[in-house]
Amino acid sequence: MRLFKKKEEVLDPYTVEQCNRCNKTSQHKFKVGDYVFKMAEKCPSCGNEQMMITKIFGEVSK
Amino acid sequence: MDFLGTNLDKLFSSTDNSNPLMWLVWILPIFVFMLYGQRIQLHVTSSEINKGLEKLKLYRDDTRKELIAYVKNTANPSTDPTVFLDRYFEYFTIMPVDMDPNGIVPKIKHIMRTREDSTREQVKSLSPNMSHVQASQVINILEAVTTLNMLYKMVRHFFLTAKKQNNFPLILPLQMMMPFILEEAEALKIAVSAFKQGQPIGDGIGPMIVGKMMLGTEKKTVALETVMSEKDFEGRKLCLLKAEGPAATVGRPADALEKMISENKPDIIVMVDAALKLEGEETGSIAQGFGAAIGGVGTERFQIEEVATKHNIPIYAIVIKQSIKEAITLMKKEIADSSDKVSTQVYDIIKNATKPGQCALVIGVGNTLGVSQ
Repeated sequence: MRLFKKKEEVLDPYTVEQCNRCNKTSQHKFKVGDYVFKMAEKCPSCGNEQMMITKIFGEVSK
Repeated sequence: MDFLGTNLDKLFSSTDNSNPLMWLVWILPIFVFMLYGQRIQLHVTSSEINKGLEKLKLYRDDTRKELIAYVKNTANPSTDPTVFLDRYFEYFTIMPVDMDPNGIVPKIKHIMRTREDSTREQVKSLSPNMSHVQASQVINILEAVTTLNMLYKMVRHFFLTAKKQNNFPLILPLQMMMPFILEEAEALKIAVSAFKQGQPIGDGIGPMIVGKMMLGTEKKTVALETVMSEKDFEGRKLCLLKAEGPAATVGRPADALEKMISENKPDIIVMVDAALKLEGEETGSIAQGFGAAIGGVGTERFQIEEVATKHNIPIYAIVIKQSIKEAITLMKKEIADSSDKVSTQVYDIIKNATKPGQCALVIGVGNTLGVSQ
């Protein structure tokens, strides 16, 4: 018998991209095909450098 | 109170010791519990274990269906993969005889390698359309379903044996282990989703840290599914080693180390890996120590320790703490956020333990699913 009932934790996956030139970061929902250190789209801020995926992680959904 | 001529107060009177009904009320349960107590407890415990068993069966069946659907949708195999997959779930591995443990590690390694190689070939033969990354994902899901199948069958075996023989002592250890078994089973079930989508898992933090250090360097394959690159750091030579991502693989770091030693002996080895946290410890907390930080059956660790001892190379370890569930499911933010701190610690170790002109080998240990380099 369990003394304390466990709270179910659901993680939402996110992808973080960073521009190598201006260091601007953006976070969006994870898409299938994303992987860490993959080159993504051009930086919307400086427009020159390609963004790179630096992190993919799960955050507890609220 | 007086109902139909019976005085209840008098009947249950605690002051009257000669009352036979009162005597029965106290003595009868004692005899019932003396004679049938264990059976009653067995019945209560059985219903709890049965609920857990139902859950295990559900997890196994759900993950099996998910795997079959995944193979059908992604690889478009020419034949129905269900027969092969169902046969695989029943695969077993016979460990070598350990009556004489001398020389047992190479035997275990040989058996495990045979299983790994055979599984890889069989999965690849399912469809020529399957990419290397997809095949690695299928292999990992296959392992998860096989483990769930084995857990279900073992629990069912002990449960049915205990019930058949009315053996209460046999069911007690099962009752104690059930929460741990269910925790692992839940983790495996959730892990399937991460494997299917190619998301990094908690165990991938080591390869993620070393993968970042590898960016902008030339990578070469040094062992099966294992890459290495070199770079300079404050006059020292860094050799960086990890499994080849973003496929779901742990690579063969021990083979790579053995190969590397013959060409270029490192002065220190730094291993970065995920480690199981103790209850109460924070997820993503970092600890530093000594020795080969690598899991698995132990053959890789044995091989690394052998090489390091033979060549007198100190081994440093940095681990990132997490639970078993966090290690095999989608990487948590706390774990991903620890990467910069760990990198700083790796560089600190290298600066303190080596002099300019020396060489340090940094190994990112773990499953590199969803993590490139």
